[in-house]
Amino acid sequence: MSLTETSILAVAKTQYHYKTKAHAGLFFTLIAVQLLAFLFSLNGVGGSSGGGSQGISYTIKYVTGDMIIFFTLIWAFSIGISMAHNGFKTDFTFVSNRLSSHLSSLAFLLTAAVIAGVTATLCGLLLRVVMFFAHGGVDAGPAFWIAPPALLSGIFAATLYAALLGIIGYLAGMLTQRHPAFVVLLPGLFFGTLFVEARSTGEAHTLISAIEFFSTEGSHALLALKVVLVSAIVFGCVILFSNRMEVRKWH
Amino acid sequence: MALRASLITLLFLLLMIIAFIALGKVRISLSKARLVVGLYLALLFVSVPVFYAIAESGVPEPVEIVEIGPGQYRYHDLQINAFYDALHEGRLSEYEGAEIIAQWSFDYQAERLKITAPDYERYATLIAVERKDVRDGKLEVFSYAPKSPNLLTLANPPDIRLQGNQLEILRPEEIHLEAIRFYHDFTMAQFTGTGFSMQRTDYFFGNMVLYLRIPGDLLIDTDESTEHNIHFLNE
Repeated sequence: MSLTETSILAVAKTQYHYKTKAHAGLFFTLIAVQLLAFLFSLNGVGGSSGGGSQGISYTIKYVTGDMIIFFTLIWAFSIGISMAHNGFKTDFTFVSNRLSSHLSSLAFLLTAAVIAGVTATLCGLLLRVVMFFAHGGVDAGPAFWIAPPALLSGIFAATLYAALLGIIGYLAGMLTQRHPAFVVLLPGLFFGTLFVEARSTGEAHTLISAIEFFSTEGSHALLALKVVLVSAIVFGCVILFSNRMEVRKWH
Repeated sequence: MALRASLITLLFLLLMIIAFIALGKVRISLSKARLVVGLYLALLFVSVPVFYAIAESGVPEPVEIVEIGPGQYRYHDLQINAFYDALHEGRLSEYEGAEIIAQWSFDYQAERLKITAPDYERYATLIAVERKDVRDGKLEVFSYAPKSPNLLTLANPPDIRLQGNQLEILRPEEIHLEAIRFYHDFTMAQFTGTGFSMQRTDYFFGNMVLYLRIPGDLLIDTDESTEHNIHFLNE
């Protein structure tokens, strides 16, 4: 029995500080990912061209920060997996249990989500500035302007999505920790469902419905509620699976 | 083909995830990480005031999307409808959603005029003819195109020449236009409604109108190149 009693939250806090130091390299990857997406976006995310018959031909390049955010979300999912794999290794340095480890990982993922959400959205703004000067202040259309509340909404939504994907990645990482078969089973199940649906109905209905559940939400409060609820369910699954893992290992 | 493209995209996605996990294992000292992340954040935060210094505030209007069947949508363009309504009601000159991109004026005293487009088999642009109340011997030609602060107008007016009793519509010198359109990131667009995937109508193309104001008693003839697309407004 230890002479000093420590609360789970205090342990989780210490572990969190340690994790932010130990996994600082992940933010290098975030910058690399965003700069890569930034470079891809310089050529536009799409375009249209045509004309000829009326004495005019045109090429229109479409620019958004969508790719930067998309890449950032994949990064968030990946660090969720990384945390599930590497997080425990650092936790054994402390007197800890699974719950404090999960809480510190969750805190780290939320911190990473905030940084990812802010940087991804601002990187999109940097893209606009660069494109504006690179094309000599062209007529960019009214959507070039982003009102400050819209910018904050973008940061808010990007942070929520990054947090959600980070936690889903953490669950995926936990499952692969539980049994190596999940390394093959999870992607197989995901891609298999997509292809079976796409072949039978022409559309990946389940994935599209899941994305639309969040992306069509126009209220900040409801979006936050949806993300928090789904994240709580996913995190509950993480705790449930890891508890079972402990019991199994004891026997 | 679409399935193959999806497969490649998903494989690319999987490779990216694996690469990110592998890169995440690279150990970097905290001081180095702080320096790089700090510099990156500084760059991003500097871009905010720069952006607000160069950007002009504007309110993009989302296009009305009407579902016309399962999975089928029509982008209902109210501005184009209003442009043609103004044309058919003879009030294009007062309509603020239209602009004159070229105009010509000729003195013409003959009784008949043939409108022809010798460079074309069938001239595709609508030719609207308005008879004036007066017999002033003036032939006025306007090239109109729709305009909107939200949309680009892609139009190149024809060359117009009066040759004897013929008004000739000639093919203009070809021009090429390059433009950039910006859209809100999807994370903003779900609140503002102006994302890349939500707005398809970015420009007016093929909506030019050739508008003729002719003396009240002038007789108009056409040929194969123009007869199909001529519209008399007040007859």
